[in-house]
Amino acid sequence: MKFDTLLRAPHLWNPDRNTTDGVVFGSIVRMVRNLPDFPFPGWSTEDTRAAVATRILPVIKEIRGFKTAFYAEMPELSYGQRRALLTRKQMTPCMAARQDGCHVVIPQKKNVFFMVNEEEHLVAHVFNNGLEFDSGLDTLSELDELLSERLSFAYSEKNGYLTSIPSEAGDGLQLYCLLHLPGLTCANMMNQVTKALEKLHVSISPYFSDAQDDTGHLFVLFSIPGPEGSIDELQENFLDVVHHLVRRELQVRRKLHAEPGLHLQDAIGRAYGLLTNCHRLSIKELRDAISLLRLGTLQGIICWAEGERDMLVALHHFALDQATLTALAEENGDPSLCIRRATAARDFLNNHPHHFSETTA
Amino acid sequence: MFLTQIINGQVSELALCEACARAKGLFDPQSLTFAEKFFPEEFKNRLDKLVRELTAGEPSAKAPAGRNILSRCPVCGFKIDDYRRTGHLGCPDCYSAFARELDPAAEAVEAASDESAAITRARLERELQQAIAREDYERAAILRDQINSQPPAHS
Repeated sequence: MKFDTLLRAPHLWNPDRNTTDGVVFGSIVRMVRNLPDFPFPGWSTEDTRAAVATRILPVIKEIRGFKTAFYAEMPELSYGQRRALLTRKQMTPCMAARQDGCHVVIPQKKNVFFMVNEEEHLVAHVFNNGLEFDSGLDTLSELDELLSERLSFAYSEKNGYLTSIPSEAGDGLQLYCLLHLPGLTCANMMNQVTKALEKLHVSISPYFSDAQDDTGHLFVLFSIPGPEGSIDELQENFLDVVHHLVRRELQVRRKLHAEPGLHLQDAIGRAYGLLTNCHRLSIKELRDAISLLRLGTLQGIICWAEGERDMLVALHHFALDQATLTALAEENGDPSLCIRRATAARDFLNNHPHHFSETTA
Repeated sequence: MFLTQIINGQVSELALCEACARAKGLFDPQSLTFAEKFFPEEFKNRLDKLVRELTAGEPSAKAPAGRNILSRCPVCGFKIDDYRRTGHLGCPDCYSAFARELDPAAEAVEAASDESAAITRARLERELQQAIAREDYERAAILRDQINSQPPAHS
């Protein structure tokens, strides 16, 4: 499969309002495995990484649905393509920095992809809508069984599956959750929340980069391997934290909405004004404005003819598509990108009839 | 760092050094207070568990006797200093090469055992000197045999 064909596939994530009130829009389960006779990728030579890939890739190819997947060794991908895959969460930042002997395997119609020689020899990510960790774990369990028939993995009775970072050894599983937190961000509470989460062995980072960048108010929450004994215990603790964070986000949203100063309504109105009137639009401006329109939709400030749920998904996909286009176009130094982005935003709003609710107009 | 927890009138007190507090995620008192307020349920559960772990004593892991800390993995050549600097290992065999470094609990058990052996040896040597001083050679011979049967002290 070619890269362009891969990008034409729709995003598999759809924010699920029924379960999480538009806060959680996806979850990822990560599984890592290493071959016993090779150094970990961070300490291996190009030849060793090639030998690891030669062992693993044919086995992946034989898994149903993976024969026609997108296969690429990292030097074959431009930095723009890597950024595009990062935006779609089909590659990790660690992998994006890798070169020779490191491969990605991404099928078009499956919610799972593999990385070979990322931080570990074999890394699989399964992603789902909402908080569906159970189905992700089931998928990985099946894949693990298939892979284990042809490959033996580094394992010890005492430590479990061995990984390059000792604290992550054990089940070799980690949980991630993708969150939209405009309430906590607008209330300037994210720094405190980040520190508080660390005390609970949970970490949070911005969706679009590793830096202190809360663009679009999207975040990735992930479990830090800690004292939990099993994946069940890890999942239970992680879900507790996620549900609590969701409740807090909703509380803050309600509080902001009820404030007599109409700050939230003002911010949403300004974002709408920017999208409908600007002629040049940066990607940060677009992400932030779309985030506020999603918040306005959830709070009943903006009403859409197509229905709230469909529009939440459409807004989310529009922002991610624009981010992907930006990642690919920036590489060519396209000077008209900001202008085309502004046009796309105006067209999007024109194509989706809407109005502001009477109480806040 | 001192931490006092009161549950149903039962007081649990913890005193942790900076390194242990940081390892348990309890370093920054300001964010600790915020965590307690922001995630009261989850924070209480985590703290209960921590108190149970610490009051129950160290885990019962034991490192095999006579295991040494290697400075370099014999299989991949990765140095223990690199692990201390990066937190990463070089290959799956590093787990056995650096077993004591990776399992502080086992190291603590060994250290305690070493300490206990050193104390016993010192006591026997002191008693031997006293026996010689009072010319009790029968007792001195017994003490000498006991000292010789002790494992050699680790440097």
